[in-house]
Parts: sequence; C-alpha cells; structure tokens
Amino acid sequence: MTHAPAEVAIEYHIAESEARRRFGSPRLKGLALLAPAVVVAVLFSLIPLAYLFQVSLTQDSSFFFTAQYTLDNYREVFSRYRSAIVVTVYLAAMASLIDLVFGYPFAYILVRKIRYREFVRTMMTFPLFGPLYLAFGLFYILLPNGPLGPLFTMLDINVAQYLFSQAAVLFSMAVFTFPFMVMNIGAALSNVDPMLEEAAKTLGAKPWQTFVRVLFPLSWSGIVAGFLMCLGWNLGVFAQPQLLGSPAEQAVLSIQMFNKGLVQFNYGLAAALGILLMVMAFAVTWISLRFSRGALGA
Amino acid sequence: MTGENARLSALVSEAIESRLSRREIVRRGAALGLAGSAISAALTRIERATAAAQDGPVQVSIVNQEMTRDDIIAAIQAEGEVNVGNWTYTANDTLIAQFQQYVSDTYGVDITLNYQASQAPSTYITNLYTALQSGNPPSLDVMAIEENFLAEALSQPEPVAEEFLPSGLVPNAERTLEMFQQFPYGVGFQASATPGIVFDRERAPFIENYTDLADERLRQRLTMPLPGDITSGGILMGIAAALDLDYQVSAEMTEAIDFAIEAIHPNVLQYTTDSATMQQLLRGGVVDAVGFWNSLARMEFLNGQANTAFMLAPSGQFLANGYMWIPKGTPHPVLAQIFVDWRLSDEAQFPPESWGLEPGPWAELNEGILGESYAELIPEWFAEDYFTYYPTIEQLSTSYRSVDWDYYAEHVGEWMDYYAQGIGQ
Repeated sequence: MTHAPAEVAIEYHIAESEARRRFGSPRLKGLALLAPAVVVAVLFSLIPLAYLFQVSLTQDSSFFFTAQYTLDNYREVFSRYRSAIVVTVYLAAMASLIDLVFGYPFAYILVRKIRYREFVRTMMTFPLFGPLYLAFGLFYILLPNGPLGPLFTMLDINVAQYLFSQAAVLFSMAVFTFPFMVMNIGAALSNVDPMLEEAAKTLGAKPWQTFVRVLFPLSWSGIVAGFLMCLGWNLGVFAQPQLLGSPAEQAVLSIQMFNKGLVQFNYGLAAALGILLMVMAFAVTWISLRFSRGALGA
Repeated sequence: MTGENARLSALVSEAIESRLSRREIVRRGAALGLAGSAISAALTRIERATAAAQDGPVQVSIVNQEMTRDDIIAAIQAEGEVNVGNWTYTANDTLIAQFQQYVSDTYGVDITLNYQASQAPSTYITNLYTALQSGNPPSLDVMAIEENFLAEALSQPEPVAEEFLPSGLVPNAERTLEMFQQFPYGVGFQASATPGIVFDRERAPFIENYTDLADERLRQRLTMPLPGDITSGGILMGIAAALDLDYQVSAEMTEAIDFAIEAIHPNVLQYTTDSATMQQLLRGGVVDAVGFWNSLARMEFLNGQANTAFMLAPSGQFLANGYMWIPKGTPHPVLAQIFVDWRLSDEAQFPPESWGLEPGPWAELNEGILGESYAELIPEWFAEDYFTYYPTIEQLSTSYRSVDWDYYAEHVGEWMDYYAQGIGQ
C-alpha cells in the first residue's frame, strides 16, 4: 500500500503528538537520555578535577593540614619546571613526527596495497597493550647480555649509550603511538577516491606530484588529527623515559609529578604540574577533534 | 602445593588431632616419605600450634580485649583476610603461602594474605592519608616499610598509626633489641638494612667510600636512586658523613648535596630505584656501581655474582630498617597483629629449608639478627660466611649509625627539592 505525501505527514504528526504526550518534548527526552552520562562525568571526572585544581592552589598541602591558598605552585611550575615543559613537549613532538614519517607510507600501503589488511591492522595494535611492556622489551633487547648483546659486541657498539638515550625513548614512544597515526591517516586516505590518483597519473603527474597535489591535501585532516592525537598521548609519557631515558629525559612532567606527589609528598606542586599537563593534553585533544572532521567522520 | 608440602600439612593436621608424641611424628613423617628437614619443619609447626592451643587468654591490643584462643579463632574467621604493604621480594609468593599455612596450622582457619609489593612504598602513605581523610578504613592492615615512613606518619597532626605494642598477640616483638622497638607504634623486622653503594669489585676496585663516586673512571657507569625516598636520603647522609659533614646542620648538608650534584651527577647514567634494572645493568657490565641497598649485594653474591659487593663506608652507614606498624582504623586488627608476630618468628626471620628458597631470595628475607635469641638460628649452610654479609649485634652499634628520624622527616623535603633541582629533575 502506498500513501500520498499529505497522508504521511498527517500520520507522522499524529504519531509525534502521541510520543510528545507520552514522553514530553524530544529535547527533554534527549536530556533524560544524557543524564546518566552527565552524572558519571560530573562525579568521576569534574569533581576530582576541581579537587585537583583546589589542591594545586595549596602550599605544604597534606591531607590533614588546613590548606593555605597560594599561586606559588604555578609560579614554580613556570619558573623551575620550564625546562621540564620544554623537554616534555619536545619529546612528544619528535615522537609524533617520527610516527608521521613512518606512519603515512604505512597507512597508504595498508589502505591501498595490502591483501590481509585486518591481520596487519590487528598486529599493528600490539603496541597499544602498554608502553611499559614496550619499554621493558626494548630495555632487555638493548642489554649487553640481552638477545642482541653478542651482535652489538661484534659490531663494537657501546650499547649503554643507546640504552639510556633520547633515541631509545623516542623510538619506544613512537612505537607506542604509531597505531594512532596510522588509523587516522588510514581513515582519511580511505576517503580519497583511488580514481583521483589514476587521473593524476593519466594526466602525466609523477608519483611525488600526485602525493603533493592530490593525496597530501586530501588527507590533511587525518595527518593533523593523527599528529595531535599522538602528541596528546605522548605528552603524558612516563614509562619510557623512566626506564630508557638518561637523566635529561627523566625530567619529563609526568615523572616530576610522580616524584613530587608520591615520593616527596608535595601534593600541591604535583597537582599544579598535573593541571598543566592536563591543560596541554586537553588543548591538543580539542584541536585534534576540530581537525579530525572527515578523518574520524565527526 | 607440592607433594611434599601436602604430605607435611597432612602430618601436621594428623599430629595435632591425634595428639601424637614427638617420636610418633618422626615415625609417621618417615612413613610418609618426608625428608629430615621436612619432619623438623613439621615438628616446629606442631609445637607452635600446640603452644597456641594451650595458652590462656591474652590481652589483645587495638580491640582492647582479653581474648581466649576461641575468641581469637572467631575473630580470625570474622576477619578472613589481612592486607600487608611491603616491597617486591622475590620470595613474596612464599611469604604468602607460609603465613596462610601458619594461620591454618595454628588456628585451624583458612585466611587470605593479600600482599602488596612496591619499590615506592611512599604511595602506601598517600593512600592511607586519603582513606583516613575520607573516613574510609585503610586499605592496608600492616605497613612493613622503612622506618622513616613511620616517623612521617607519626608527625601528622592526626593519629594515623595504632598503638598496639606490647600486645599478647605479638610476643615476638619483645625478643627484638631495644633499638628496634618503637613501642607502642611499631617494631623493626630488619636489623641491618642500609642504603649505599653496590659495586663490582673487579671493575671498580677503587670504590671505598662515597667520595669515590666522583671518580672519572665511573663516568656514565653509575646509577643513583631518584631523589625523594629514603634510598636517596640514606645515600645523601652517607655522602655527608664521608665528607665529614653533619646532616643535622643545614649548611653542611647543603654542601654534601652540592657534592652529589657537581661531582657525582656527571657520572650518573640513570636515576632508578628498580632493583631488577640494576641487577641487569651490573650483570651486563653496563654500569660498575649502583646506589641502592645492601641486600642487593648479598642477593647477587649468593646468586653467583661473586664480584658484586657492598661498600661498607668507613665513615659509617645509616641504618634504615623496615618497621611494621598498623594503620589507624584497620578492619583486620587481630590478623594484622598475628602477621606482625609471625614476621618476627624464627621461621620468617630465618626461613627453614622446607620453604624451598634459593640462597639469594633467602638473603633478601633475612636482614640480620634482631636480638640475642635469633643468633642461634643462623643456618649451617651460611654459618661460615654469615658475618661477612651481616653485622654482628656489636657492629650494629659501632659501624652503623642510626638516624634522627624526626629531624629527617622535617628536613628531607628541602634536601630532596634542592637535590632534584640540582640534577635537573
């Protein structure tokens, strides 16, 4: 049976009125559905965050002392810990850049060339099981008495200089966040019609010209989203510099925060470092989401 | 449970139920195919269980009651578990199994020992403060961590530790030397734990005192503990002593820390407090010396690393023994006290062969002689070398120095802050 448009409109209007009578306005219904998530977010995210911010404004904060409010912790963060901020951002940016350099071709091959794509994707997600495993794995591989020890000895390489080095930290950070980069670029590339590449080739474009003029601009949102997502994850890096870094890399904010709060009991300063780290990660995530339109389908 | 352990447990249960004589136990043990050492362990357990059964009522702290054996059993049944915060011993699983077995043998109740292990036990303190501040019971019933944490906890304006010593449930606490008794709050379970330098004798024979850590031959061949906890605190105090400075004089301690920053820091390959990492680095020849605890040297030596030694500084070592204390408001006060007592017992201080521990892990659990009555427990296999690796009771008061923990708790924040800043942390 078919209906004329007018009849459909009337039926829809009647059904909508009935629904409205039963559940109130759609807006209210929407709000009611959102309520559980809002309650959970407020209880378990916003209130603890507000408390963290309050602690960050206290001095000699202990759980048992009456708080004395001050901005000293933030002053200290931006004076004494300026180099720590630089190290943290530098390591995060470099690791993300490494991800981009190796992740783009990988994503391209994954989207365009590989037959057992799902298998490769699954293998690729292994690093996401944890940075700690990665860091320990690399640590044991680089040990002189580890599995590659004899090889290093044969090549007369002083392993220690790589074991606790910026290179080792950057490598393990990049491996951990590699899947994020590949997923984002892959999502953007899969939206690029292969016919465009064919067309460019037919019109005489060289591969690099196709990349610069066609692929790169069309996958830009995925590149930015992937880079910023990797950067966001890497800003909070802890295990890799702790296990594989020299004292210079061990200066990252998350390690400082752990030491200040849980080893030296300076909760106020640790909270201020935490707030800074959170603001940085939030900013990066926000920008990432803004640029990920298309790549993430948002 | 291994076959021998199962047979041993069966023998213990049978002996207690049937009230077998000592001779009958030995015969029955032999019939079950148990080795002499296992029969001896069974006799100890049976003796203990029988003694506990015969004891009259005892005054039990925290619950403030005179309790009979039946009362204690009822309390254990009601509590059902006990949570202990300690370090990452290789033998943690053995400790858990042995304590559970002990409670089962002695009181006939099966309980669970939840053993938290961390190389950064300061997190236990933060968790405790959080729980108490939010009105919740503490998550750990027994803190078995360095003495400075007890001082830190006791310096809080609100009570965070139970006053439980002496207690009828913890008679072993009174066997310890007075220097290990922090009654009514805690008792030491280690006698000779000291932070310091563990090194390879062959690769770095020149290391004799903390000042040698500045030697250029150690460039990038040394690890030091991260600034903050007692490991680095003990080493900084050791550096001060080596420079003939007094850690209790602010300017002198600053001078000692300056030495650590300017002279030692350039030699540091990494700052770590992870013993597994240090073991690997020493064994792999990546570093020649690590700043940690004396127990690491003992463990490595007994694990076959003959060149690994502890630098006993001629200027003195600072003792930082582990102490057991019970957080305020513990939900398992009876089992907590039973654990404290058991950890000070003969078998937990000098684990018998029946525990099946290798020499390395054994030396990790045994941290010296807590009192005169323990001296006779040194096992035969280690009798000859024991005092090469552990101090005598006399040496504890001559070669080792005790710390003014109240002063330490008050000033360690400044020291660590200055030190951390100096090394870019």
